Amino acid sequence: MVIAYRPETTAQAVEYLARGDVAIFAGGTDIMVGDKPVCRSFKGEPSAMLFIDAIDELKTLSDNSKTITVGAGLSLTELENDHRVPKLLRDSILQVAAPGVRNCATMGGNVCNASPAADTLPILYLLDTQVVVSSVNGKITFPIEQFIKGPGITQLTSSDLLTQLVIPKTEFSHTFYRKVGTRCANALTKVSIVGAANIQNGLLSDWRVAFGAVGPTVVRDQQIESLLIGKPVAWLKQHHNIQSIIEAYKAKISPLSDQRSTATYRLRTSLKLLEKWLTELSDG
Amino acid sequence: MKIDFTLNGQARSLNVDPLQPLLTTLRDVIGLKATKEGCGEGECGACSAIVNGKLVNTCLFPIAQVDGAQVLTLEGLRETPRGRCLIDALLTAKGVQCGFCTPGMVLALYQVLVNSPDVTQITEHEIRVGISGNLCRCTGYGMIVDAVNIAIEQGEGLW
Repeated sequence: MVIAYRPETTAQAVEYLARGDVAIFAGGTDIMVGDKPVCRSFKGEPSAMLFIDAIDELKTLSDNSKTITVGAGLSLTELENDHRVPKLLRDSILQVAAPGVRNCATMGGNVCNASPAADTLPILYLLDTQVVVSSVNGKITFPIEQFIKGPGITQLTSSDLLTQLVIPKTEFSHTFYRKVGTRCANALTKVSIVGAANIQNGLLSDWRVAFGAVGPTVVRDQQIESLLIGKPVAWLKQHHNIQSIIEAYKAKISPLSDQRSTATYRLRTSLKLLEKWLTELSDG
Repeated sequence: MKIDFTLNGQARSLNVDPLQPLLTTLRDVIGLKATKEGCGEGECGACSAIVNGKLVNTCLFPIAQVDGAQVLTLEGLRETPRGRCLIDALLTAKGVQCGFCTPGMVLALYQVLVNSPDVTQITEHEIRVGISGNLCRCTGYGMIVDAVNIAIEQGEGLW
């Protein structure tokens, strides 16, 4: 039987983690699947489990004029119901599993699980989210694309606890989000895409896109994005221009075949959705 | 680990493995069998119960997190006027066939009703989202959705 810790403060939690051989249990909706609890973020079998659901500090949400700070322990349902949370993020949360899972699953858990198919990750990448990690030695902040290193692999060391996500507030005139799964609820993602743009005086003053489940981590490429930023919307009316953007992403996307889909389907569908998003934008 | 909680209004105290799923505690330790195991991995909703006012899949919910909590299962809900009204509505709508999903389904429908600020405004979409984690392979869901409207009509004032 594992030892269970269930502290009420972050300070106590990081002290337990500093002792070593302690795995973190947030919502548990991935850990509890299967006959034996398995933590993707912990190698081997821990001797103690740190339940973080009783820590109120991790369940706070605050905002100022520039950013929104989301406690890692907030459940997906709590975020779905808070209108300060960016709409794109709420839209993606509504596509995660079903209410019973969303009531337990946490924002921090979805990030630390670092699944290539995680529904919230493409949106967090798109919005330039910062990840705040605490330990007995203090706090460190990572841009999300640096925090996540690969499937199930993050910068989190055994003594770290993800405590907050800091999301810049950005207004977009145009957004696009699609998740492709086998059914509307309770389906893991085959492919997802999120896009956001600002069109001002006929110019693309901002343009971003991120893909989920098409590689080991979310695919977002700011170099390709910079090719579009500053261009007139009319530039997208030329089919060969759209085609050149699609070709650029084709080189960055490297999906796998697995039990949910094939590499061919994922590549074709993600690029077709990109084409749809660009065509929609060209119509203003 | 010692766990103290309230189950269907009654205080309970147990000494169990902290990672034991609440589903196992309910069925095998306490012996309440309304809560069913379908898939055991959070996909079918047959094991749904309400913990601190929230619908959860008890197969994924460790008993450690139940310490200090209020748990409601179908055995508790059916003793209340709202629970009886909803169960009667489901029977009237013919929304029960094999019955395996029914305990979880009743709790999911109950959450749709009690979380609504005005039950007369509940949309079909909201009902369908509310039960989207509860699989039923018999009814096709239409009659289950109808049950909510019957419960609202028959349980005037209850909701």
